[in-house]
Parts: sequence; C-alpha cells; structure tokens
Amino acid sequence: MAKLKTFTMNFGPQHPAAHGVLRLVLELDGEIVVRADPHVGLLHRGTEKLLEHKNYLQGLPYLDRLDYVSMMAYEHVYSVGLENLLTLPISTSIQAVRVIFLELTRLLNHLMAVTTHALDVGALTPFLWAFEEREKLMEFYERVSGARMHAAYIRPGGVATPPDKQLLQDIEVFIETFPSRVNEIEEMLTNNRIWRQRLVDVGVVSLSAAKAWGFSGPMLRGSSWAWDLRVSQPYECYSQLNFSVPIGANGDCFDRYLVRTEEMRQSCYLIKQALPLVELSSTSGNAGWSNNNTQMENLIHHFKFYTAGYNIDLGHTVYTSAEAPKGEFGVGLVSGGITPYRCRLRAPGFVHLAALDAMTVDHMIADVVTVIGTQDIVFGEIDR
Amino acid sequence: MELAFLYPKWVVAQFLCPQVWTYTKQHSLLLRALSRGVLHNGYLFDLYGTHHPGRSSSGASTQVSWVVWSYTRNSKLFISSFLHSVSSVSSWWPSAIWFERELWEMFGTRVEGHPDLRRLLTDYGFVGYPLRKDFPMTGYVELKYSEKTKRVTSGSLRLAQEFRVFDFVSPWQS
Repeated sequence: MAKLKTFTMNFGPQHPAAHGVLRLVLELDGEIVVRADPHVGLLHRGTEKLLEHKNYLQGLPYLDRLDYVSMMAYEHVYSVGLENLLTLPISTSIQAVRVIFLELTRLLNHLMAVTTHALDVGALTPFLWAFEEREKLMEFYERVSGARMHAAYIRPGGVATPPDKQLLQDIEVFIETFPSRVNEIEEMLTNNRIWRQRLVDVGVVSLSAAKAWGFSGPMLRGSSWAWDLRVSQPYECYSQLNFSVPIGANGDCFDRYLVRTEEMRQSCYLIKQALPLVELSSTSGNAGWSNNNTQMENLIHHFKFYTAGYNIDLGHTVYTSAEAPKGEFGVGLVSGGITPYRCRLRAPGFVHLAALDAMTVDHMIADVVTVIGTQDIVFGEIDR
Repeated sequence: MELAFLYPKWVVAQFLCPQVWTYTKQHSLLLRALSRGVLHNGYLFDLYGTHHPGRSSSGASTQVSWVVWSYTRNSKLFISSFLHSVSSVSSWWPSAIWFERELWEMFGTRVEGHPDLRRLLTDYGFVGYPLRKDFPMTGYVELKYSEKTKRVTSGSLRLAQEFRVFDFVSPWQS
C-alpha cells in the first residue's frame, strides 16, 4: 500500500481569520489537521522589558495596549497590583465606577469575540450590529477619559476623573436597551443551522484538560466549571453585587459562545446594580483631586507625583489577578524603587493559544478557524 | 504558611512580602506533590523568571517563580527558586510547555525534560536573553528594508539619540 505523506501549510501571519499576526504551521493529512504549531511574537512588543524602564504611572498605558479590545480590564489589574504594593484603600464609590467600566469593557470584548467569530464562520450581519454597539461603548470611554480605546482611566489609587451625572444616566439608558441587542444577535446565531453545524462538537475540551492547560474565563466555564474570580475571590465591590455565572455543558465551541452571550446580559445586570453605588460628590480618583486647582501645595504635590513618580521600597512582590473578559489576567509586580524591578504579565490568551494544537488535532482545516475564534485570541496580549 | 509544615524537607524558607512566597530547592518534587490528590489539586497558573544579577548565594541569577492555583483551597500558591536549570513540569501540567519555552528564551534558564524547547516570542534567529538585566532595552539589531536586495535585512543598531534614563531620586521618599 502506498504510504501517505502529510503536507505542511502556512496559515497566516496575514490571514484575516488569524485575528492578528499568528503564523500557524499546519501539518495536514488531506483536510485533517495532524499538528498545529503556532508561531507567535510577530508583534515584537517587549512590554515587560519596557515596563522596567518607566515609572509606575508611565507604565500604565502599556497595559491598555496589551489586549486592545478589553483595555480597562488590563489597566485595572495593574492598578490593583500597585494598590496592593502601596496598601491603598479604595472607596466603594470609586470601586463602583470601576465595576461599571470593567463590565462595559466586558461587553466591548464579548461583542468583538462573538461576532468576529461569527464573521470567520460566515455570518457577517451580527458583526455589523455589534460594531454599532461597540461604537456607543467607546463613546462612553471617550466621554470619561478622552480616548476611545486606550483610556488609561483606571489609575493606581482610583480613577483618572470621576464620571459626570449625564454620563451615568446615558449608561443606564444604554444598558436598558442593550440586552435586546444581544437577543438580536442570538436570534441570528443560536438556532442558525450553519452556525450550529460549524460549532457544536467542535474543539471539545474536557474539564480535566481545561484545568491542566490552565484555561480560565469563558474557556474554563464552557467546560462546565463555575469558576469566576469575581465570585470566588471578589475584588472591588463585586461581593455586594448579585449576578450568576453561566457555564457550558459539553465544552465545545457552541457552549463557549453561549457562555459569552449570557455573560453580556449578566454584565448589564451588574452595571445596573453598580450605578446607584456611585456617589458623585466623592468619586474623585486621587486624594485631594478637587483641591488641585485651588491649593498651591496640592498642585505641587500632584505635579511631582505625575512627573517624577513615586518610590516603592525595593523587593516587595505582589501577584495580582482578576477576571478579565478573556480569562484570568495576572500581574506579578516586583517593586524596584521608582520603576518596577520586574513586571510579569500573565495573559489568558497566551495560555489558551498554547492549547491550540491539542484542540485542533483530528479536526478539519476549516475548524481551525472556529477554534481560533472561540479562543478569542488577541495578539497584543500574547506577544506582550 | 502550611507548605512548610506539610513538606519540611523541600521548603527552604517562606517569606511574607506581602504574599507568602515559598522558597524551595526541590521544586520538582514539591510541585508534583501540589498537583496530586485532593489536598491541593493544584494547576499551574503562571511560570516566570526574574533576573537578579549577583544576588543569590548559589550562583544562579535567575529566580524562577511558579504560581499554582489550588482550586480546592481557593488560593494561589507561590513557589520560587534560584536556578541555573529547571526540570520541566510539563509532563503533568501541559500549560507549562509555553511558559518554559518563554523562560528559556528570555532568561537562558535550561529546562530539562522539555518536549519542545524552541524560541517562542522573539524573532527567528534572535540572539540573547532579552529579559536579563544586562540586555539593553534597545536591543542590538535593527531591521531595515533594503532597496538593493528588495528584502528586510538586519544590521547592528544605530541610534540617532542615546537612550535616556531619567533616574532622579524622588523627593517623596517613603
């Protein structure tokens, strides 16, 4: 009998379904994947190295650029890490502002994740609808921080500037109507025959495999494990808020899609509960913010802190993690005086992509696109 | 703090700084024990290095840290060790495969028993260990498009301006 030879194919690094610059070397037996070898790092960012050369506040905007579809979630973890180093207390009102924007960020991320996934699989329409909603969400970003995407809004010690009353009212109006947008997306997809054929029983991850590969976020919850840091180790004011954690049953791509859509509804619910917790009079981010323009000493202090930075004693190590939209994002900070001595960034997408080979073996080549989509890959955080 | 009581032979010291960091000289045995059984049911969350030139008594300058998620205890366990070479934990935690590749390429720490030790994040043909403290932030090479050969070529780095470090001490000393 003739011996069958596999052949090797390059997927990317400029393939639109690769969600960025992923070079995937696929070993194929006909249309069946034998091995998938992701080559990453094509962005050459060196964020961890750069952070060692900037003072703590200058380093913050780099965190926005890690995962450029869920910006505030990443700067939040870095800020919390610094607050742990400095043991800064945060008032409930500011925590509520953070929760509102963290959950808006989750909407921003999941809209992108679900609908670009649909786009890769062949459904264009939900993508167009979701980007209209994303535009509104980015407008909220812009109104609160001045930037549509890379907000640098959540700062160590609080937030940059408190949101105004009108903005909070507009957010409330938005989340009243947003669940029906999720319903519209679901109407297009959930019972769609093609969508189901492409997703059900594709990229199945058992619970034990998901844990062994270090999965987190919707990737772990899709494999029927109700693990969410917002519940198991609540940070900010999540312990005062009521929400449920959706989980999948089979651990396939379809379950992870359902988990993400349900998480969007839960985020709306969370924002609704967090809005009344914001007290507009005391939402100033930094201590004495309101006095900056009226008292000379405060202005000088503020200026010195912002330009020269601040010192943290050498050698303190704090590892902080939080539930980012893509999974658990970890920041390992070692203080080194005026700059971090070392800042480790543990990106959830990096861990998920490492399991791409295990998830796609014995699948058809078209399913590779489905699996990349379901992993919600963004290369900013993987290449770091 | 219980790791010191459970595994007194393997734990060298524990520090509270401000989380509990456990220093070990038997990382392989300790991590294997953490992965097993219902006591910890640990899974690898993170694995990374930190370069401390000339700090350790054993001569190894890279501090390797393992962050282990213990789902049964709902806590993260922080294990650390100064090492020239680590033994791979990827045989029971496959998530370590990429973490160890990254550790090796960034710090030059040898990983023994690793199934697939190749560069991961740096460029093809990259030389050096970028996250070591003696590696300059600007690197050594730069890429250019050569009009002559019609392709991207690499050459030694030439900076139009020196890299500037503003290392003034803050008057706001804590």
